[in-house]
Amino acid sequence: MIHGSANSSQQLPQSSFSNVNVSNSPLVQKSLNSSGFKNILNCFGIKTSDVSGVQKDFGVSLKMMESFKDVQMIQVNQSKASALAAMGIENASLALVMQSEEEIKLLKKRLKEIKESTLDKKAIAKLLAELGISQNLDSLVFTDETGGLYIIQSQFENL
Amino acid sequence: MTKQDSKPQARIVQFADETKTLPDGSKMIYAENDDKIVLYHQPSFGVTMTYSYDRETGKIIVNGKEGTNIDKRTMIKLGSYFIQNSKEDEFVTLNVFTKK
Repeated sequence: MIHGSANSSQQLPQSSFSNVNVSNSPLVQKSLNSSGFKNILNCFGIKTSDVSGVQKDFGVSLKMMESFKDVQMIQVNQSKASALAAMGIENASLALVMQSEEEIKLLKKRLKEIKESTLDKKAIAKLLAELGISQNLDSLVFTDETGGLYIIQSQFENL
Repeated sequence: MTKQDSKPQARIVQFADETKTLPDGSKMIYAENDDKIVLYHQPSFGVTMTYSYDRETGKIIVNGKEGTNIDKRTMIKLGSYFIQNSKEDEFVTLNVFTKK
């Protein structure tokens, strides 16, 4: 049996909502019988038969849906975190936003090119000049041996 | 303990008007709890997809199978499209409670 309660939501701003009892809500009954809704409940490990109640709030805080920002492309693992710490770089001071594995490969390739070009001082000077970086080259390029990731520490924002 | 005191197992957000679609003709449902973010996408044509993102592990499951970063990108794109083409008062939030 589906039943609900007329209560307030602690998660969402009160001004946007009015709560209703959903005991006889056709929307809820129909939703619970829809394949889409069942798929969603299944993702949470909930069987329709286990549902004891549904509370309905009109509206939603779109801030809640900003949870999409939690969907991360890359997680900083311990080894990378340690490597960054060893280089004196706080996690908060470096952010790489990747959209796909292809972009990661592209970045790694580009950084590999930068590393290789450090063998030729003139080439790296030209490359960095084109990127608008004019600091001492020796102080710019660091290598994270654990992850194969090469990081230009300062002026990274300029990239 | 009353429902007012307990926490829902999932919060599911959809259009209050079940016939309403997004500008491209698709339908979406957003759901979340402390562990997962789920997006159900039913295009006007094509295959219906359910994206389930695990907040702790960072893994994504798409229609029951492990997905890739490309799927995460798609999920974010769809979610952004959903938010950008909706107003707060068009939604209804269903807080789901279970027997346990």
